[in-house]
Amino acid sequence: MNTAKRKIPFGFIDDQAKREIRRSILKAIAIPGYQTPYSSREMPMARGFGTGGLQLTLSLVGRQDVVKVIDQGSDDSVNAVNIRQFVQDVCEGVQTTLRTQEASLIQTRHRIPEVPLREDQVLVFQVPYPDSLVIVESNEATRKCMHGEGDYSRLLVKLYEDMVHFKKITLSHRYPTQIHTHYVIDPSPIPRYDVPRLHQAPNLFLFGAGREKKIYAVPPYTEARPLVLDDIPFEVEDFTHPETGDRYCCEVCGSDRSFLEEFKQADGGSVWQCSDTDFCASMLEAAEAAEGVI
Amino acid sequence: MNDLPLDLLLRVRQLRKSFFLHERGLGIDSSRPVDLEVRAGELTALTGPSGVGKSSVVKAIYRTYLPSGGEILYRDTAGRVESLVTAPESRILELRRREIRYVTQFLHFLPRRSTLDIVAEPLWQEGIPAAEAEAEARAWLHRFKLPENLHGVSPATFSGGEKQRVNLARGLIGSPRLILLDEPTASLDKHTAAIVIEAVREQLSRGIGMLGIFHDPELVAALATTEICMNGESI
Amino acid sequence: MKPILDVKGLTRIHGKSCDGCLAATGPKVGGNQCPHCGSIVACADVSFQLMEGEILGIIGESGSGKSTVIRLLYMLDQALAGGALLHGGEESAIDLMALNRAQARQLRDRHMGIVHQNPRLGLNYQISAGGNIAERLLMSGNRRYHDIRRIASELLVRTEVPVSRMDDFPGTFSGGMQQRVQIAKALSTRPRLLLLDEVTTGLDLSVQARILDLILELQRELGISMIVVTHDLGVIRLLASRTLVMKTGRIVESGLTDQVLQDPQHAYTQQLVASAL
Repeated sequence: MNTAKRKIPFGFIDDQAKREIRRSILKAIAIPGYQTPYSSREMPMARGFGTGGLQLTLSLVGRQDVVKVIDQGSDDSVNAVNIRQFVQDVCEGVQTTLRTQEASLIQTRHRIPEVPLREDQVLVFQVPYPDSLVIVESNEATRKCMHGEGDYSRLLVKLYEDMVHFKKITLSHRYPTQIHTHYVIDPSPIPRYDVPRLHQAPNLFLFGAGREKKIYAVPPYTEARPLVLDDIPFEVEDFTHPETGDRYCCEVCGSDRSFLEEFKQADGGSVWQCSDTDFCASMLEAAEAAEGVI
Repeated sequence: MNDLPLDLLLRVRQLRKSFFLHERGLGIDSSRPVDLEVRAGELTALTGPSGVGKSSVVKAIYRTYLPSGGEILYRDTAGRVESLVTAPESRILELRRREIRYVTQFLHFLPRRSTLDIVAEPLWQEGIPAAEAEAEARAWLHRFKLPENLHGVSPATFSGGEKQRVNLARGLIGSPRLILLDEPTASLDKHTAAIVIEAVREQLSRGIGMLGIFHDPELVAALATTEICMNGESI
Repeated sequence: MKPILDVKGLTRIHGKSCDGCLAATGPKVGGNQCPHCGSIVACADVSFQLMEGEILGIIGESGSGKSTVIRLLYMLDQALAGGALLHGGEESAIDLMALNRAQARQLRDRHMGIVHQNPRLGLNYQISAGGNIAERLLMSGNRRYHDIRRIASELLVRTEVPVSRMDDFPGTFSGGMQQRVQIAKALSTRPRLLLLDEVTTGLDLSVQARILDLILELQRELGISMIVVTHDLGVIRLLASRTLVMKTGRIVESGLTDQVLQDPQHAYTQQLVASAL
């Protein structure tokens, strides 16, 4: 039998689908924070593993692009490695990198890189749950109306109830964030630390939810405000030692200004380490270079 | 057409009231056409045998009944003459709050309210501050010899005589312009009757006009300037 | 007295409706289903005025259209015809029937309140009693947590709900207390217009009495205009200065409450009053 090997198009997705996704992206940028529906395609991996983000990446990527993929800040996790490998396989000539500064297109899961992004960079999020209202309203038609009317009082009630029952806001990630004074988005499970970094950033943020078939965007230099009660200030994760008041430092590179992850030790103590592996590596290199100079 | 001589507060012409019972297809005449006048500072008594329709006349003036025919003209505080037959409901409510009061033989009160509040309520309606209204109400209850320890409780458990005195205090208090009395003085004891006569005279002397249904000829003689007997003739 | 609400020709028909619907239904015919097209005339040509600070009663049997009128005024349903002008405030009168969803919501959140017969319609049982009041305040644009706490506790005191229960869930409250929380919630934004739909139906007598007392006190203190829908003549007698009587979707009679009760004109009202002991 003579079976011709099927030619995989550049970027894996066929041109028709890419066009549709790009149109949805344009609409999403034009209406900041609005969840634009699109016909999410089947990808060669299970939904829930970043198919939404991947479709955005593959629709946007061109031969001149340099792609970086991170998973919870790390370039070396299984998910990040596999997606990066896949992009390399289906996008002939496209370079990949681990360096934030070198990348033009970054696909991420649950973090924004520590190094501030530039106007010429695009950050693509993988989104499990696109709708911020899902925690207070189960009916999607009703949610659509609520978004349309800018009715987010029930999310605010959730904050009120948190204060009543726990004396603090318990939302740790996926913090509802209002874009351009209207739509409230689910910014994907980024930590609260990353939420203020969406605000007036020079770069474009794109959010892709493959399972839920939604694309939304925070365009460059756009207002992004966490939803708060006026007299309960928004707080980011606290990395200070409860007794000494000193900020924890990264065990590897010594950074005292990055988002840290806690690793419990066998002796019950904790070690803290940068969540952004590329940032951590850069800090180390810089330190070593400085030592070398001396 | 709405001409009313200046000395008149109220003039009723050919007022009649009939009911139609749909279920039985039956019309009932409640009162034959009646004419009457009330002057400021005077009491017009409405007398006659029971069943002749005295209450119907009073209720028709107060719009508790819809008049079936005739004319009711009233001069309000501002000197404007208006027809109580055709005035809009909102206007009637306003007049009821401020100017025209209706006192029945039974004490109709909102349940669960203190006697003091019940007596003071017409003053609230007139727009008098609560503290002032309360003091005034207390004074009237004293006048009608209602023991102080009853002021704070609801009249629900009062005796017939006590209720009647509360009713009269509530009916006469304050400064309405026209009071419609629907037999509130039936079967008064001698002592209370004397208090009532004095209180009514005092309020008349302040210029309040009254239209009253009375059965007791002594009260009529003591209080009324005019008596309209509903057998037909006026005395 | 100035009117706060001017309702003219309010009509709602369930179904496709035809030219013959209105003529073929109503109290004279004795039904509200159109024989030509099968549509149900929920209410037709309902017109009335509500004055500032007044309590207006709407009475009628189930299916007479009284709750439909409330739902239309609260903009939960769409009218087929008619208008309802809401006066007051700085703006000129607003036609409630001409608003889009967002406008309706905003107006409702700021200027109107509703208390349902079934507290489950008016309260969210997943959040605390205070949270329910907070929701309405948040909707109307007040986002200060400490403010909201203070206002909610004041309202609960006013409606005689123990403040110690403020952070409990409404499902743990008695029926009467749930109704009070609903009233507190409705009052939280100081509405110009309060709609009460059978608020005491199904409560036992002593609880009914205290809720009715509360409504009267609130009217006296705050001067809120209210429409009270009920099938209970006692409620009407106690609360309403004027009353509309509805049957098969139409107003068959209106007047001062004491007049409607003592000198009813329409056959249906006479029957209603006669059957009420």
